[in-house]
Amino acid sequence: MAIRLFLSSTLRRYVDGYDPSRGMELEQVQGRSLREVLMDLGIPLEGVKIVMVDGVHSDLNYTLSGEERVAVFPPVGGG
Amino acid sequence: MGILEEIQRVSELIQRHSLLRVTAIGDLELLNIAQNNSITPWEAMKAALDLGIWPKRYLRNLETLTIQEQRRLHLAHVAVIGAGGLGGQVLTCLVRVGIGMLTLVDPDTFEESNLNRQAFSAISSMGLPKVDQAEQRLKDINPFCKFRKFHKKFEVSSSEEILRDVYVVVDALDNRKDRILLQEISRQMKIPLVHGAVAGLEGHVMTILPGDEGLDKLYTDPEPEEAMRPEAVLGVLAPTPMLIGTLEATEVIKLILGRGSLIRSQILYVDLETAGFHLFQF
Repeated sequence: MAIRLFLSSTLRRYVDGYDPSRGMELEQVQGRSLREVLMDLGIPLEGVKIVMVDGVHSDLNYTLSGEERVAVFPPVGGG
Repeated sequence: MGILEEIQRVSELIQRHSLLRVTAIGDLELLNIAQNNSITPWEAMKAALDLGIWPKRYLRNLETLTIQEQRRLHLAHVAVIGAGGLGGQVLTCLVRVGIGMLTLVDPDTFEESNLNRQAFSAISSMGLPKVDQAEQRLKDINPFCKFRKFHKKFEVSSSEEILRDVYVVVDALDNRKDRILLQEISRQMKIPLVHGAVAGLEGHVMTILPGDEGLDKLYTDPEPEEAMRPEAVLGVLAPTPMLIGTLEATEVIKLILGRGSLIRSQILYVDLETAGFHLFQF
């Protein structure tokens, strides 16, 4: 079982070799919160504003069941 | 001869394709009628649309829009807050499709760093107010549109005047603080808001009706420090605001015409790097 994690925008810079087309696969994360998983990856939580789990709005407290598609976004505000 | 008779007299039958013939009128004829009768080009255009006569400039809208829809766009008043990367594209789309009244708002003047993406920036516009350059270009594209312009910041003291009689307002701003204020005021004044924002090759669009949660889900207060603001780190490439601005303009058209599906209670996130378009639900 693995989740697929997609990072947006500047968050991609915190993971070496991140492939924006494929995202990244993370195994054995069931039961853990998204917050813990992102912290382990070295992603600064203050830079994460939007969390989507399987296409629906969620938050960092979300507990992973191990098979989701998760996307995290910083607050993009340019014009 | 009355104005309506004059419009009918100078209109012509055009075979649009083998199945469709329409009565149409040219820009020059309409502008002449306006001048000779001391009415505005906007009023002359309205008279033609009232008669069911297609202005030639809108003939390629025909069959995607009905003449009643074209008329409704002409009667609509849209405010676009910001005349930079997003605003330049939103305004260009709206004036070409035939929105009849536009309010332009921007406190800034053009500088060299705008040239990589902002539609109305050019060598000749350096140092000049963005709203003046925008109005000049837009009038050149469509003299039948009425313009109001504010060379000032959108803030509480100016907001009521800026949004007076506006049917839809477009967020083409470049910072969170002003966007949140715009949402607050549009809520109070019960005006639909079309939001868009960009950074690098990514952007998103959301339509917010009064009462929707809207931006509360997207931004934190206070403004994050510069290193945490993607647009400050990545800059913005031209295709991103041009695409997101185009999507914002399309939301405006759908709102006015009551057509199609709005990007409401969801966000359309676009990543041009991976050619990904994703709709997320709130």
